[in-house]
Amino acid sequence: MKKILSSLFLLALLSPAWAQVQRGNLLIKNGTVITITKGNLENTDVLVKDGKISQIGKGIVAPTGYQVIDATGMHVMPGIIDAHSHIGLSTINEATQPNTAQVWTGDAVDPMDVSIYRALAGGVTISHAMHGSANAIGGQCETIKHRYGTIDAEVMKMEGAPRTIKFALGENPTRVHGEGNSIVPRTRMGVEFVIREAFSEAKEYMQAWDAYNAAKGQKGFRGTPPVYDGRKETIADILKGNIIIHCHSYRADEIYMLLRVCKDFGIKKLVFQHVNEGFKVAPELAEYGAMASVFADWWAYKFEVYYSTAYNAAILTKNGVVTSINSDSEELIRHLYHEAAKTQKYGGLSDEEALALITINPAKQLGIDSRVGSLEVGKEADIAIFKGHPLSTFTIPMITVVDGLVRFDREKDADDQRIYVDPKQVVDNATFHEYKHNHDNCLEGAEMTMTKLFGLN
Amino acid sequence: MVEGQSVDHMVLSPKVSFYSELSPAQRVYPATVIGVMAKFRELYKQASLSKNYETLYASNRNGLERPATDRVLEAFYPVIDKRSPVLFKSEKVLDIQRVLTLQNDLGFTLMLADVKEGWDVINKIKAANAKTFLSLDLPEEKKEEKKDDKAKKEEKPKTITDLEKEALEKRKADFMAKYTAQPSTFQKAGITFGFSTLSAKSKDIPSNLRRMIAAGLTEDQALAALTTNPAQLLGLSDRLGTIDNGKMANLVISDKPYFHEKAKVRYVFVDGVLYKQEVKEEKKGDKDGKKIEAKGSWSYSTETPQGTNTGKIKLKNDGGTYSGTITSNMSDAETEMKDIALDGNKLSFSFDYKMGTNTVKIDVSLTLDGDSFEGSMAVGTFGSFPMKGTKDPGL
Repeated sequence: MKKILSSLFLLALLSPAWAQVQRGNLLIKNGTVITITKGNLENTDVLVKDGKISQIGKGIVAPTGYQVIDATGMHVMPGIIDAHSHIGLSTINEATQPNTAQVWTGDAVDPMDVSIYRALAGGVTISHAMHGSANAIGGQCETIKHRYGTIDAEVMKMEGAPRTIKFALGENPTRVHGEGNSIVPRTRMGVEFVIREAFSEAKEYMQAWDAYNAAKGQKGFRGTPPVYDGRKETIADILKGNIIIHCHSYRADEIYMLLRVCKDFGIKKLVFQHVNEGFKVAPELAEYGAMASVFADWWAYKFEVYYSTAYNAAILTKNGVVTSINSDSEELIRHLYHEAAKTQKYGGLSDEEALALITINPAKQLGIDSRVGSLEVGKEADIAIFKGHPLSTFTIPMITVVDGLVRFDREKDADDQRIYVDPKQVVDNATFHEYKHNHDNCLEGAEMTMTKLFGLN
Repeated sequence: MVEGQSVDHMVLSPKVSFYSELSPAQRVYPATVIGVMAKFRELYKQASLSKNYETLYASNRNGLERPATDRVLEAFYPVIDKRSPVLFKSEKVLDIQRVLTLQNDLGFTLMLADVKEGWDVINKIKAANAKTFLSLDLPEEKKEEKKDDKAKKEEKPKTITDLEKEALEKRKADFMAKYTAQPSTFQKAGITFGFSTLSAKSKDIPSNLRRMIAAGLTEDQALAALTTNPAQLLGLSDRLGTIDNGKMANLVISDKPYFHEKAKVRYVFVDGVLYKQEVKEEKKGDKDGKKIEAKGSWSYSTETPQGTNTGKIKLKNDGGTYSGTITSNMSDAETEMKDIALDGNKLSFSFDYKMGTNTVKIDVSLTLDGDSFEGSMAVGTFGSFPMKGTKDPGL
């Protein structure tokens, strides 16, 4: 078993030798440092050495060769983390089967997606590049660091970040497979069945391999190995606690359903996404240790998303659920600080609580909170510098730093930030497209499949 | 090879590589690049395991289940043994890197085919020791718009929009230059590359080669990439790539140096067999408006799956209206030809052929060239077969 485990995905997680991540040295002088975990520090400097925060204090002198940023009058906070996004990906939905646990968005990372730069322009340094919600068990996801400027997907991946996987409940998976293709799941019961069946099969698969590997070591053993199965292999890793489930969900009943399923199979690492009715089951979520990543005030884009409230994040937070606010959108990702500020109007969260929703909490949900999400010595230097308090309506993101390197600087923000240019593209006068913000983006790419496969629109 | 009695005869060197591409399937799994890569990894892993098991079984069958035969997995065995490289079509810079990631994870020997955007990943390609075939396809060059002289005279001060457009056009031009300079960039990096015609239109190949040469590749380097380099990369240098005693007689003869703008290929030899190239020069008959005459007796032969079919075509010209008969060595009967039409030097007709109880309509279209013709014969739904013939003397 060990051999198999160490083979594919573990190898992929250890970045190949040729993935060269650049890290910088830098001193940010005299800002209001919002540490998130240890309060605010006025007129304070942050020293960054080799991509990591090496010192936070007053009157730090920059060693030679260090870039110095004067942050006088500005707010210095940890880079914003988006726990639900689809930017930086060439493809999102492998929608062909109800369970595609074997696929991985890490294979489709597009480091040249200009949305990554736009996210940087909103102070966002890390996003969770998720598989879509076309299937009950979608693909594995990738946590990316916004090291925009590279053409190397391996550089964009956050090395060593825990594995995550997308699950989806409710209307999307039942529409694509049940309604569209007349296979399970057609109903919410069907979704539960798909998940339970997958867990049970993976358990048997795991046991079969364990038995084979145990017997293999014995003298004179003659036997046939089980058939390797990428899908079951992945699900088995969930059962072992090696993969965090991020589950697209809206309704309280199905959220509670997945809690029970996970309990039955001993799965602890569980984050609910969207989770608009999370406020109804907040104590249950808190008790289980399940987390929630929500929209600030976005709903009614399909039937199952009507029972919603802008107080959702505040209620979840006050009930002790580790909660984040996500974008699920290449536009919304640019102003997650506004989205977080909404929880002060709806629910009266403190500055610290509101900012935790877009920093340390999403870091916890992605299992990277020991490395990022707050400004502390030893943590990675992912930093957003704002003119004005980041929760103010009038705030302006000025500089965004990833691994100690300035990746966005408002003063040096060139018009054309594309990395590769299509020489055949027609250059025309700009036109304004109305941005229709009326659905979640989790089914991106699946519509085509649905139309082609099933004649649905 | 073109000249071969059968498919097997056409093969110069079998199983040179294991072809793969990241293009997804339609409507079924894997329908995306993530599906394709997951499937590739899974098959590779399954093949490694089943190969190991087969080895174990072969060494001692006692107490072991007979391994199942699986031709998909077995196809991977030479790849796993590194006896055969994976030839991966990888055009775009992201695809090239995805393929290199697969190679890095699984460890197979790699050949990259139809590379179009490789200039920024040369070091990775080198590190992976991947044999490389650059695409002969290039983004089309924009035709210069003829500027109105009047508009030029009334030059207005440039607006912000104009400046922005100019900047965007400049970036496009910069990237165009990277595409055309790709072969020279690879050359300078010391990579031995061949070319790939996979997605190139044949009519664009000479002009694309000239664009690549204009962008820094020398003619000698271009020629090497068309001959000695691919021969070396495919391990066929003992037979191909140079003109030398004992090598295969694969020759191209052009009327000007090959890379000259007006060069035309006149003759091609494949394994010693001459293929005359049709050069687009108006035939005398056409030019002078002289009518081409098709009447007379012609001997033809066609290559069909049943073998070579030969016979006679007899054509009469009755005041511009043709009629005639056709015979075949497969039946003795003379068959009446129908719908005979002569348009310039193109002759077409059809006839009915009895196959047992069925009658099949056969359509023939031929191009006449003096006393010979070439063309094809379409036999219902059975396919189309080449046909050639010569005029019989006399009559």
